[in-house]
Amino acid sequence: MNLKTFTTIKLVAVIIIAAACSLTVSINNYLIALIAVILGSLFVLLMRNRVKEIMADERDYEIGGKAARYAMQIYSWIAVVAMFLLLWQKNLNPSYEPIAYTLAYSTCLLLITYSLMFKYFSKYSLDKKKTLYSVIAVIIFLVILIGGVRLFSGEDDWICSQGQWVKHGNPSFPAPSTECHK
Amino acid sequence: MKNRIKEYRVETGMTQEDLAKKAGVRRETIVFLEQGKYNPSLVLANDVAKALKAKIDDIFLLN
Repeated sequence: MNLKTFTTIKLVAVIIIAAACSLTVSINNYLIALIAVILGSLFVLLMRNRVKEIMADERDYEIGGKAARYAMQIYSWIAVVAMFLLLWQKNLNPSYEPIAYTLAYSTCLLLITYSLMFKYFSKYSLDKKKTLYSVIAVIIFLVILIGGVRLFSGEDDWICSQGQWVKHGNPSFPAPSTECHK
Repeated sequence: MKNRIKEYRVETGMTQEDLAKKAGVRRETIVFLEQGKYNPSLVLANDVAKALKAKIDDIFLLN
């Protein structure tokens, strides 16, 4: 496959994924959107491996590395400033607090991931792609596991009890707006 | 770092695309190399020299 064909296929895949996401968001089923994104990305990755032309060379990697470092620094500073501003003004709107903590956690995740990747690449050659993919898969799995446990453990949540929403722990977000029917 | 890539490339009758394919890089990289806007790694410098059938010292001129 040549680069032009791959670019066309990638564009079509992106359009289909975007359409699928829009549709699933409109019907309020985010799981389908998530599956569409994962399957679409895997498909594009599969097609990418079939391209015979050179897609990226040492210059692209060098520029990409510099761009990523600057982007990370800029994002981190913006996130930290925004986080403190939102926490400072949390009394104006209760939703500011979860947004601030989301920014904080995402920045921490970004910095930790960068540190791990930097340490990995400074020790191992870039040729060991299988090891690299395994490391990335483990990191993603750990993030999903920790995030899932944190989000779905039931701690710090609202529980429906006798027709009323009751706090369980210390949820930082307001009670659900839907009616409680237990 | 100055270089004589374009000179050698034209002499051998190659296009930028041909040289890029032989050296294993994108055509844009060859463009930047010829303009002196990018300093290649030793591996790439060697690959370019090999593609142009010349020595590294003849192509790349250290200041």
